[in-house]
Amino acid sequence: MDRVRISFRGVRFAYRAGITVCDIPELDIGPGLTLLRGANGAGKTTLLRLAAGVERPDEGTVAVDGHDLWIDEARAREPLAYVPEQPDLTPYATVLEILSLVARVRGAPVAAAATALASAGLTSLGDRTIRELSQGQRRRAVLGAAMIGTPGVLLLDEPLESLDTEMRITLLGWIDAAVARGAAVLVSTHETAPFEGKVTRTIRMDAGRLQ
Amino acid sequence: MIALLRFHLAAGARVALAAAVPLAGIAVVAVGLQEDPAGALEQIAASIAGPAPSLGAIAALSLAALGLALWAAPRVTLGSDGWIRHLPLSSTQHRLALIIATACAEGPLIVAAGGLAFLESWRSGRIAWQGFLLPPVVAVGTAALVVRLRPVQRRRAWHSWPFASGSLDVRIASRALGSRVLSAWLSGAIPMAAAVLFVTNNVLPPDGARGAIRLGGTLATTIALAGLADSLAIRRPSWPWARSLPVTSRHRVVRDAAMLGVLCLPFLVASAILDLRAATAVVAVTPLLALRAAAAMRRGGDSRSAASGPVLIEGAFASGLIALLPWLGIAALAALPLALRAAVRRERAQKVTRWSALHHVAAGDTLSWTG
Repeated sequence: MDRVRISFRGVRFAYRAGITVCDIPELDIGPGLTLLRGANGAGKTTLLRLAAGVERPDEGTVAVDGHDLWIDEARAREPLAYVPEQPDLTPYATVLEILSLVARVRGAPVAAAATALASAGLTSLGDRTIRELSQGQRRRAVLGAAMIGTPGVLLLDEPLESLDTEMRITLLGWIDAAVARGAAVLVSTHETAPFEGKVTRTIRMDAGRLQ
Repeated sequence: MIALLRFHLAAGARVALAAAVPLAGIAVVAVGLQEDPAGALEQIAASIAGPAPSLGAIAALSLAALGLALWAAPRVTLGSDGWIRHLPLSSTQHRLALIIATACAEGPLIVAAGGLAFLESWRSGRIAWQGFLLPPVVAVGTAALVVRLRPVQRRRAWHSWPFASGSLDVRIASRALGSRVLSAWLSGAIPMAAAVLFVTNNVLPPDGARGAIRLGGTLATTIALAGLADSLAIRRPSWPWARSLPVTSRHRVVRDAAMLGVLCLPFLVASAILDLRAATAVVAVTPLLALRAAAAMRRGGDSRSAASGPVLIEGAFASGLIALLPWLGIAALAALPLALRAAVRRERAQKVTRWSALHHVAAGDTLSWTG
């Protein structure tokens, strides 16, 4: 692998003591499109949460561009753009506030928030709080947030779910552009057809372990 | 209809159980504080279930029933305007089931009034029919009124506090807390007011007065912090996605602690107005209490008590110590790095996407007092 973007070393994670849901002795993910596949409950979402620094492993380390997510917290997260399957945005913020926050922490110009709002097709909803949005609109909001700046590591959990055709085309185009500029894109999905011919690597998971 | 009734009655019964213990506690304390508790109980029984019931007693029973119905109805009717509406039942059937379930939630009051009627029957040697019949009728009546008039649930936009225009974190917290900050301040004002009354109504040596102010000020801060930490932990839980942004755990903890500390300013100012020297110790201990509150908000789903539990215990202990030994304020400042490290460790150890039981404190839980 020419350049490792995400690395897992001796990672074990359990939501409840004694029930390990993710056990990854070693995994390196480099630039290009990596598909993460497996049955429901295989541990794909947990792996993405660990890679995004949302959950901390009970054992082992997860590093992004060589920076440990739980030691060099801010530095390791700088290139990350994470799109969860459930858009768990705080209900108390407006869409524009969230996008502005992301623009600020990624060092992008403030205008990038308005551009992302338009890319996500939410221009007229910028001032709405998240709880006033439908599930599909919330997904668009997190996708809009991911599109701000030029993140080098994209972590996408079922990104095509509940999106209309137009937004799917926008999203697939954005993924292609990210891969072309050398980003590492890790996608958990049951839908492989839209990614055919673009995949660099496929990782399969079963019962929390890599196959 | 029977199935629907059973479904709603289950919610009503859970709400009734939640209400039973505190209501019983209030009744026991109220009667127990009378000079002649047995006599007072007989008098209440006679005024409600006697041959000539008192109008005041009936009004009090109706008001209590109405209060209970107002508290219970939002819990019993939660979700009743959604998915369940597609089932093959009429609106009247839905409403009837909700009324009966809300009346069931008033069960503790009906049972208590029934007990009084039983007492009156035993005392007078005749069955006090009106005492047995009146409470259920009042319960159904108030339930019908409340269910009929309940507001339609709409998703409204939140408003930030007027001064929360800068940071997004403060705006989010202000929307989550809303007017709850006032209730936290009101709770905190009780020990502060007690300290003021104690100091102004007694001839105390200066050191004694300062000790009372330190105790009142630190207790006020503790109680306000406990309320605020509870509300924030429930209404603004960890935001998993935001943990993928380049912001450190330390930053998140410090941000929360700073905001909690700032919200305690009224008590620090009040202490300073009473005695500047006494206030310095209160000011010195507040950052530590705020950090401990920020840590308590991050205890995860396994904890059986709300965030306020440890805040109140630690804060009460600290209040006593600061009242007696004001120089411990310096020790509290020195302990800040340790407290920060402990809070950061807790922030990192949280399993934020894990499903957690509500433990009766979250919105949407019919057993919740705060939901």
